[in-house]
Amino acid sequence: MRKTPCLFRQHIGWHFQNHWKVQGRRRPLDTGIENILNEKGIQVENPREFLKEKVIHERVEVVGYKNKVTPQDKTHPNWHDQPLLTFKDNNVLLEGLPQAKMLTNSVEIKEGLPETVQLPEITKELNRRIKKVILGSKIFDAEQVKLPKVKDPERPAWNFPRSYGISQNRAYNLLFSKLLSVIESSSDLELVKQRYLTNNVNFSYSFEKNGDLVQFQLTGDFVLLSKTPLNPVTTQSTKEFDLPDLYPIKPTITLNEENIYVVEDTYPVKKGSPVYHPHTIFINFDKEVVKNLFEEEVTQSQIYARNLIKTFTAAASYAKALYGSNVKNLPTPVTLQAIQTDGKTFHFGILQLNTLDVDSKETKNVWYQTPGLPLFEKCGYDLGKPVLAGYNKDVVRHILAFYNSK
Amino acid sequence: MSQLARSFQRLSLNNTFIDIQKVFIRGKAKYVEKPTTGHGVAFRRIIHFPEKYTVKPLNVTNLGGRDPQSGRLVVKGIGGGIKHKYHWIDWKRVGPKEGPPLVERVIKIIKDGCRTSNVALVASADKLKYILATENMKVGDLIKTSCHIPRIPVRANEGDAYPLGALPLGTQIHCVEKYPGLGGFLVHSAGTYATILRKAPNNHIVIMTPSKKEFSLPEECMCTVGRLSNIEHSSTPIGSAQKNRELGNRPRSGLWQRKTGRHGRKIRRPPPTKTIVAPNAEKIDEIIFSSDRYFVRTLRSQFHY
Repeated sequence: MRKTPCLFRQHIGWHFQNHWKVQGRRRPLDTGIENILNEKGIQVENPREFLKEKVIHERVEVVGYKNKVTPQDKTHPNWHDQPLLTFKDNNVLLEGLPQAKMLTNSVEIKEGLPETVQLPEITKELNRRIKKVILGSKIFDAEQVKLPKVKDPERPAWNFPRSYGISQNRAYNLLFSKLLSVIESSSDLELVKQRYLTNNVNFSYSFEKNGDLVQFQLTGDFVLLSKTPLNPVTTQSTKEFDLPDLYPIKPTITLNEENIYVVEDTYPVKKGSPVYHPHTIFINFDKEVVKNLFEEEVTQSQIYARNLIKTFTAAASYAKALYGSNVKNLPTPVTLQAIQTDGKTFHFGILQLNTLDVDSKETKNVWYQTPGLPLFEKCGYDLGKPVLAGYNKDVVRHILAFYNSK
Repeated sequence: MSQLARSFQRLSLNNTFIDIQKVFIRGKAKYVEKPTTGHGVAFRRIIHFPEKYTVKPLNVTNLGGRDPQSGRLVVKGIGGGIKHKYHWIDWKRVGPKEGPPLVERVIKIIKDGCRTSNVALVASADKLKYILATENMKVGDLIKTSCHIPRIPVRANEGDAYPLGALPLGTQIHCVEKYPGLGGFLVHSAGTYATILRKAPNNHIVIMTPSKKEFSLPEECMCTVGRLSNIEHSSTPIGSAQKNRELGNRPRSGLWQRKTGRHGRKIRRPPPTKTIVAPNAEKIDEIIFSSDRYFVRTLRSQFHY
């Protein structure tokens, strides 16, 4: 009889193989020899470093193939060890308006806009033209792009069909350029000659706050310049108005920390230009772009704060360009108006810049603002018909008052 | 003509060596090491953590119960569902060793899809971080953190973090460290809390976890006071099969037996109090031998490959 059938009945090789899966990996016991040798001054080396041959690859520089990407680390030419805290177009402040007041050393001496702003009555004809402008920018423009995704928090699994239409940025640009041209055509010619509208200009203002280096940057989509500066709004003392308390939070929270930067103060208009003085800035608020770091909804107070910081940036960069970089208390206050909108809700603000010293207790800057005013309730298609419902002429009266103010 | 020459070439006797595959390995399964469950590694999702702590919600990759290394299915019943961003919780509540405690303000209470209890965004100085929200925590609350153990127990409020030794007996706590410096580890689930039971020798404190097990921990272990938020979570039915799929769970296996009592509670006495000892920091690396099999000669050694 052959022995193999009996011997092969159990596949012993398979057992060895499985045994090896466990025994082929070992964890050596720590005898503590390394510490003893180190104490005696004998260095312990890893044998693997000697067993494995080291291959050093030669680096070949290919000339002219592609622009080299500068690494974003300490070797970057603009690297600084002290971080710069920046506020840019997409940021919001955590604490909203109180934090912005702390950063810019501003106080609200009264609610709403000052008495100097008189809302003019507007004609029926102007209202009719402005309604056309709103429809033209919100509905009748030919742009068709994919709009942001819509999600219902109650039904997160549901995917809505993607809608196409006019992008927020486009609608904003159209609305303001058309609105301003309507206002210009209906205003006094001598006044219109005083004003000058610019697009896409950059402001930047840097300063020090409690030992931190801070820089505000702003892109002005529309900036209205004027031949003469705006008159100061108030002469009231600001000493008795206190800044808000943010305990236990520092006012520089949620500013971007950057190590690669250039500190600069930019005012976009050349000195000696006939229209040198800023009059009104128009700020776009796109909720798809302007977000909290923690991706929660931007609050009303944060929108107000954005308005104040942007106005301060433009006003302070102008003051620095006008009076030099060492000036603290301004000889004559700088006044600047701001209109922030997401295309529907309008926020109006006026800043009177008394001082560039953000730690000053004596003199503070003065900020006036309105809560959000809706331009309309609904602007869209209703059963296939273009509809503009709930038009609010107060918004246009505010814009007109801002345009006319001297 | 050339075609003819080529066909003659093929007939030549140069290629007499034919590669014969000695062992036929087709159909033989490749051995892949699969991880076992229950060792602190989750197979639901991996989170792409950056180097520096951030409150920006992090991107995740859902695994569907698969091991990311081998790609093999490890846990059944996971897959699909709504993708949630991950809120990175700062588990280490570090406060001053002496002097007044660190004060933080609650900015927002956030519902997090990746965990059962709610998450609170807190801020102090110029730092933002997430912690687990307690039952009655609300926006604007000031919470304290201290590592100091005073002689008289402190009177702590909800959300405050203190060492176990600083709190009076009977306090409800959560997010308890297993050993000092680890970060909150025990009791994270919605609506749960542990209770400080008694003191033990060697400066240890005994706590009872929600599973009624007792742990004896060093008194320096940090913990947060109060009961975790979203209490109704455990008493809320999922509602429908579809809702369960939205949560990322697949249908049950069908192996659970209601009537035999096989999966029921066993009557045993509770385990004794477990004293937790910090593991040795240095763990020696495992060595994997380069040979792929045991060197042994068997009768069927020709089949070893």
